[in-house]
Amino acid sequence: MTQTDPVPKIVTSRVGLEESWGIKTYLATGGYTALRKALTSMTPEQVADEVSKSNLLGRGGAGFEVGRKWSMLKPAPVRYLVINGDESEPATFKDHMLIENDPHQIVEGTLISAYAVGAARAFIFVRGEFALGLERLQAAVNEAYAHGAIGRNIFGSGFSVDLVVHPGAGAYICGEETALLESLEGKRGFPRIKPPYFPAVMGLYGEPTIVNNVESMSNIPWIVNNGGASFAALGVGRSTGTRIFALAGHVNRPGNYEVEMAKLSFRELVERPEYGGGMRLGRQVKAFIPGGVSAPWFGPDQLDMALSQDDVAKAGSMLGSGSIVMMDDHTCMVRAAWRITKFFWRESCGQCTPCREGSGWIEKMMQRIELGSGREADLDLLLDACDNIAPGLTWPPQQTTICVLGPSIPSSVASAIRMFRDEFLVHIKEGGCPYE
Amino acid sequence: MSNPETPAVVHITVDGVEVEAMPGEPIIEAAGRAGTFIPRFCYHPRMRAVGMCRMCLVEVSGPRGFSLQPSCYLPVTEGMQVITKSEKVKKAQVGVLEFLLVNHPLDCPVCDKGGECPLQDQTLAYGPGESRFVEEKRHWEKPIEISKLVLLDRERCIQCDRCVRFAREVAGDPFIDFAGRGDNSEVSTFPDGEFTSYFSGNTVQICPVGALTARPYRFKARPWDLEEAESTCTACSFGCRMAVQFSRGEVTRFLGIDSDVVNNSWLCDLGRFAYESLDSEKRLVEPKVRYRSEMAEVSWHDAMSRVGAHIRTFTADHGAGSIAFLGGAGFTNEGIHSFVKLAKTTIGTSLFDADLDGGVPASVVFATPRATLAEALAAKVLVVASADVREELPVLFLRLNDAVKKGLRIVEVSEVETSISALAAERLPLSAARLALALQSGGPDAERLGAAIAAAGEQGDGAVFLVGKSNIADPADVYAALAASASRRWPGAKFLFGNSRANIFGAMDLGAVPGWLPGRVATAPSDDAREIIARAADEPMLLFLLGADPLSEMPDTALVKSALENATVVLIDSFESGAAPYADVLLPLAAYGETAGTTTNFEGRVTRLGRAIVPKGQSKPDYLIAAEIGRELGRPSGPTAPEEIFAEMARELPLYRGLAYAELASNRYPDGLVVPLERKAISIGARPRRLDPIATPGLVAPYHQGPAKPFATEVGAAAAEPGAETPASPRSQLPEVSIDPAAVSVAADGRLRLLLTRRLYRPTAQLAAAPILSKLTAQAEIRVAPATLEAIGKSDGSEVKLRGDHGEEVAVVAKSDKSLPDGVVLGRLGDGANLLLLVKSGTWATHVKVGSN
Repeated sequence: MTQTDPVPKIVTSRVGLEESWGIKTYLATGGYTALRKALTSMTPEQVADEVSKSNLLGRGGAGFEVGRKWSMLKPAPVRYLVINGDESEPATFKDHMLIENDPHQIVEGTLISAYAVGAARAFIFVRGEFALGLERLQAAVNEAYAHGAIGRNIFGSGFSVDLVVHPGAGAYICGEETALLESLEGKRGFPRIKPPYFPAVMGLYGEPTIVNNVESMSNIPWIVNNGGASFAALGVGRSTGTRIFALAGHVNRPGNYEVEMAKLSFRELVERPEYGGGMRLGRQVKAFIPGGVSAPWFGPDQLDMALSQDDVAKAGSMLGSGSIVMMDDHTCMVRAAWRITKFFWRESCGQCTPCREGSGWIEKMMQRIELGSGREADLDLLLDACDNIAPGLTWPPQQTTICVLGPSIPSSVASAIRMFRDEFLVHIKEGGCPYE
Repeated sequence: MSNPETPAVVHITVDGVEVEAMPGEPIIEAAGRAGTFIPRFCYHPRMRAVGMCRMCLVEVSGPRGFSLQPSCYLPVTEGMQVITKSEKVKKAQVGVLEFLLVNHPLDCPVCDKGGECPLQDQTLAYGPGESRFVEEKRHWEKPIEISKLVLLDRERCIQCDRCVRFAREVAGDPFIDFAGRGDNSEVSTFPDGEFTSYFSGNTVQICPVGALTARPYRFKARPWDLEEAESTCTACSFGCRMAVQFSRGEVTRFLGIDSDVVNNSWLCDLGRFAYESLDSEKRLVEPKVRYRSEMAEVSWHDAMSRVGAHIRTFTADHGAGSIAFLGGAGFTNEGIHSFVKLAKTTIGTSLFDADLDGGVPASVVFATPRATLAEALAAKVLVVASADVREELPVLFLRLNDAVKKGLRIVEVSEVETSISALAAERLPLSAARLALALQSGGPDAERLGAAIAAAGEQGDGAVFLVGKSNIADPADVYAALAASASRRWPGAKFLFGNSRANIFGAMDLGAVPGWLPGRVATAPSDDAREIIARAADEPMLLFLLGADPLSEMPDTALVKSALENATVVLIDSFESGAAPYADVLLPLAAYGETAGTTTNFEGRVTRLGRAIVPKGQSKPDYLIAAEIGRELGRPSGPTAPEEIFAEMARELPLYRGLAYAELASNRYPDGLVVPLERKAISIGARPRRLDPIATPGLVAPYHQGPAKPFATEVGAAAAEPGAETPASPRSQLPEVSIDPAAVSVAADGRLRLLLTRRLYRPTAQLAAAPILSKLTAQAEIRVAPATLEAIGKSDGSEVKLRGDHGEEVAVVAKSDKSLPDGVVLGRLGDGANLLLLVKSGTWATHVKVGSN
């Protein structure tokens, strides 16, 4: 399969333009025409309908249809729209780029979505460490207010909405939508228990709330301008439109690449000169993570799989946050899995037992093996501890925890042990890391 | 779950057995009622479920088959299938316990919780046999002091959030919370704060591990050595049900019992740690009589001779009317009954007043329809015109806090902000006197209250009033008039009264107040405590002080002092109170936990007091002291055991008809019964009674053996019993009480009206005898509007001088308070200054001048 020629740049069209984050550039490149169109010539239902037709899959990680999510929103006098820009996972950096380089596109998408779902107030929650992004996004919101795109009676349409940019305080868990809502309410970032706190039913301040990702929002103006059908015409099957892949790891050209969904394989993304440009130093692929560090790993034999949400899911992993991490044959798999575990341990919020205690214990065991004090029995112990967080170690995972951070922990450890058990045994027998 | 009328029932199966469940209740409750215990740590039936510990995972059927789900917050749905014992569930339980033990120190041998620890017990029952964890556990400094009473060992904490939820949601004192992240989370106070809550001890009781320990109990005992007696707290008239635990003749701790109808397992710290004083050196344990100016320890025989001689002499020289009994509100019903018989029959005096405070008088209490606590909490609107509930009846504050969340509307009538103000839908800033006058004459203030009641969709008949003495400086008539006129205006409204002395309502019922005979039978009026004191200052009197200290409990200190100096005083107390130096005879009274009997709370609920240990030294229970005096006078009073005295009460007084001493502590009526047995209690639903709802059947014996019973039948069942015909309620006429307009007069020349209140940790002889609790003794202070302080050039927190209308002067710390109305100074009693000095007996309003020196 080949991509549509030319591949439309739906969300990254302004990246690289001069002052791409300013309203001048934005207006000069068709900015806010979609908002005007939606507000002045479409009903909220028509907008939602176009989004449903586009089959836009949420770009935050779970890949749930945006249109379907909107349709599940409980009717209520007060509803909220919250945009998740708390991108904090290692090797995931696509939202970061969108926030810094095209904040107006996010704002416009958010406003259109607020119109579609009937939200009188929208919030964009941005990872606190994105200092530049926060500055540019807030500036964009200010410009949009001045432009009349936010506030009372937008473009004379009678529709009013306010938009608040809220910085996170440095916790990965606040990317989990209900923890994000807690944090937004000024509370400790603990994910909420479900039931009853499904955001579409009881979200922000107890009101029905939609939580969407920054990249999802960036697609909305294009969908409104070009129609959901044009979006759905791109890609294959349920994987429609384009998507940014944050290609990371041992490739020659790591970076964000917007490609048509499901038309390219992992291999093509890694090897094509306009994308990854091949593996670093011409080395071989040892393993790769197809969708962020919470996803189970793939081996070289899966490189020819298409970048399709369903294909990857069928093979037991996920496209997730759109981060692809390539690891070459000089990589210590124990160390890689340990490093990822350490991240989850540091970021576990501590609310529920399996994640709070399991992450720390697994991290300690991984560290012990990497540093040479491992025992052969540790491998089964590791898998069993993982199994107690995500029973069965299946994909999609089951979980004993409140949120999905828990079952994210076993992905890398279980993958590493399954795929590279010998490498663990070498660490254990030789009393240390052979790659040191 | 609070609505007993929900008709629908949801059918689920638990391990294949069909179970009827209430709609919306969590699986863990439905399964528990059906006899299937699901292990848990964070779940507490009195608090919001948080699903944090994950110990309660069970397999639940769903659209995609069975999956592990937390049973503590997943509500039951029709047809739901629940599996609690599969391999998958067992593995999850083992897994969670193994995770919990990763960072939990295995210092059980030196941990207070060892032996009654849910983590220990549930690890034994559901956990792995051995540890696979070989790494280093997390370390913290252990323990740290988060308040004067509570210590925190963060290494033992399993982050169940029970203490944090309790502090935030139940107590409304959000002074502890989680800090840090992941396995470095710690429960913490705020940087500049302590966990200063009146209810902090509850966090120790509900902690499922030994992370929170109470300083008074720490390292004092092992749980398996403890014996237990069920009892009722007598720190105030709310009557919390509690267990007195003891070992080898020493009371080691008090624990709250999860009583649906009273305290929901909570206690205040004053009640919980009161046992500290029982073993104090400051206890009065030997009879003493005065020889010349010295008190000498004597035998009971000699002390009784002296008491008998006094009674005979006073009767002969001045008549029986020169003998008066003050106090007794801290006594058992049996003790009060015995003393009332002694006074009114044997000696022949009508001078008996248990209510030194001059609270709402019995004439009003008996003439108004009384609400039960359950009725008050389920009412559409509760009018609170009382002293600060958290200071006077602390656990009632917790129940109100909970009830407000469930829909109770509170209308507060108070001149100053109290703990209730934050819960109240509306506060009418009126003094009790002003409201009473308005209700009598029908002014705009009365209309305001009517409108506030009507705002709850209520014309008054469904309203409940809590009336208590909000200003100690006021005469009792103000509150009598307030309650009586409210009852006239809203005849269907029910009442509760805030008189807070432990058994004051038992004392009223048993005729230990002027104008009343036992069983709520009216008699000719006689002098009340104030009048008795006034008389004693002038004429020869023999005063029996029954666990009472007029000096700290009554206003007009100068008058009280001269009365005590002038009178011959027999003090019967467990501690040498402020009145002890004036006593001619000191009789040691058995303290709490050393006496059996019954007590009556503010609803009229009669419950059993548990006798845990023998009286210390030579001290004797109240009823025995009365019997000794009767015998000394040659008139033995009859039965001398509490169950016999109670049987006599039940036989002779219609008020207690249908009550049996043994039944009051049985499985039938573990929380006692409200007298008279005429009112139907509101059902709250069944709940197994345990000291801690976490207790595992089979591992820890439930507090009461036998199945839980629904409380729905509480009163109805008693009335249905043969021979237990319902007596007519003894009811008197609402008294006509007039209020002098001086009560609402505004003082001229910059004088301020004094509003005097008490706090929980009021200085008493018993508090002073408690080594740790006494550190919390309240300091006297006044609060004034900022302008008042500015006018005399004083800063917030500096000392000022109060001058009364009769030349009395008191130096006291003054705090600036923006919420105070004009013309009022709020005095809070405590150590360091005697504000009672400023109040003159018989005045309608007390005014003071605030000066800089």
